[in-house]
Amino acid sequence: MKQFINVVREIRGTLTGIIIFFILLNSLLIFLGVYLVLALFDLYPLSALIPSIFYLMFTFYRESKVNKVKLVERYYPQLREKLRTAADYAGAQNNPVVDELHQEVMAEMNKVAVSSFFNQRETLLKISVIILLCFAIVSVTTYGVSFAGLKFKFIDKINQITGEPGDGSEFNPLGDAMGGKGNVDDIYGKRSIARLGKEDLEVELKPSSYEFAITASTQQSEEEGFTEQFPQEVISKESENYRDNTPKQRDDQDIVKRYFRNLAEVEG
Amino acid sequence: MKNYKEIFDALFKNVNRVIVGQQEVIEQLMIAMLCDANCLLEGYPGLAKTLLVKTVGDFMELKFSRIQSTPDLMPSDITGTYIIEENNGKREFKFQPGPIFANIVLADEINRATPKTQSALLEAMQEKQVTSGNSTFKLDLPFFVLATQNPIEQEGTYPLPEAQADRFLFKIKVGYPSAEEELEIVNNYTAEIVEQKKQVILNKKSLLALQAIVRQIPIANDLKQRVVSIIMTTRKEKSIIEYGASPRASIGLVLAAKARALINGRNHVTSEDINAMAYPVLRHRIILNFEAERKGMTTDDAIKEILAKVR
Repeated sequence: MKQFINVVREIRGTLTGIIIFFILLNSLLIFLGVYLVLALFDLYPLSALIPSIFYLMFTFYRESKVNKVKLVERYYPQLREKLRTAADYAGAQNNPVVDELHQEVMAEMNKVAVSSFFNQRETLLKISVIILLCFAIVSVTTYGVSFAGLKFKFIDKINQITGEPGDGSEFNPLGDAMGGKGNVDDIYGKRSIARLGKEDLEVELKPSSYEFAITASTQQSEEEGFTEQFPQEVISKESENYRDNTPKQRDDQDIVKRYFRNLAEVEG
Repeated sequence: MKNYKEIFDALFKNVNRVIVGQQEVIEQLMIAMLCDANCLLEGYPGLAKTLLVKTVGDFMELKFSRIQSTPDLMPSDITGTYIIEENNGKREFKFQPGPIFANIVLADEINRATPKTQSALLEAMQEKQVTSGNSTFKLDLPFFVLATQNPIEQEGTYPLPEAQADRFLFKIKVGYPSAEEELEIVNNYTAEIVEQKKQVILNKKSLLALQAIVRQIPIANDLKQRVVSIIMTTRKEKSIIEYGASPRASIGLVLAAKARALINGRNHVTSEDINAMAYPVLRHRIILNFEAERKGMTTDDAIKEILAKVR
């Protein structure tokens, strides 16, 4: 009797081990596959953990509910309904019919091979795919292969379909959001014509005309650190420059002066 | 277990020398006897129902008695009665046992007996005892009541109430033989009568031992669960069934499946045992609703549908 209890325990233990092995193998496969895709599209690659962990947990839960004894019966039809009956009566005592059944099942269990639960071809294929994926990931990260351009085109295409604003520029909002680097040099965008009243005005923003550039400011702060006195020359320089470089304002003043002068002449 | 199969094979072979065909009926009758339960045989006249029961009794060295049910049959005609007997000049009442005091009692055309007489069988069937006056008499074991009823000529009959029908483990349908079987019957019964020596294959003691072994046969938990689901479905399937089976049906189905496993020389119950036994166990325990009857459905059709649903 005790011998049969050990047989049942062994069946459950061995099959649980095999099932765990396959679940881990599949989870690893999912992780590596998703990791490669994310790496190719310059997205956060460790996000691949989410689907693989989800699969792992879901499959563990599902497989824990599977009756291991029935699994053996599926592979060995001659044990169908016999093995599970014997397992259900593993602790039965003083029952000659059950004893006979246990003896019979144990004799047939000798023909059960653990290898029959392994699909050798499938396992080999999965392991090969895992190795290939590992090589692919190493190559992609080493040589910096990226399909990010495809991603932008895809985002633009979606924007076109959904009607979201997008001018086809390679502006990368995700670059900053994900902690990466935006790959657009001209942060002020393209020249455009703004309409003011009935008059078309050509507005040109020239970042170079500002001496108070971001890079300069950053460099300065890095070099000087925190100083108690604010550098005065920066303020004066910028102020002067701003005034000097606004001839348009002087023209406007002339227009206003001319307007009032004409008005006084007409009234006078 | 294989030894038991040999015993039953020998029994079936000998019974088949007298009864041609009817394999399923003989097997179900044997199963009912192994379950220590009572049986209801339904079939048209002339299908050797009485002969079958008598033959089985002969091969098992069991005392056989027959009661022909009629509307004027009284309970005391079955159970027995007190008669005055003169002994050494002294008159005293003495209990005269009725035909119920046998191992196999064949109650022929039970639906022709009045409900009062039918119910007289209840105590004997259930308690294996008879009460007459102030005395209770134990019946000799093994004890089986095998009742027959005719599906035609329903005028002047008293159909068994559901409560009483539920006490029969099986309702066995006795069908017509095939053309070949009928030809063999004609040959056997029109030739010269040769007295055949009957061999006892199972005696009382062996039968009682086999009844104990039947209960020891293991059945897997999920198969037990399936039996319960089948019975529960008969109660829930309101689209075709008016009244479903009682828990007695669950007990009967598991026990019958165990007995079938023993007859087939197996030391465990299979799904096939349950499927095969579901028909005789449930057929008299479920009542179809009007809609199912209107469609011409039989109880066997309903059972088939339920078995397909509960897998």
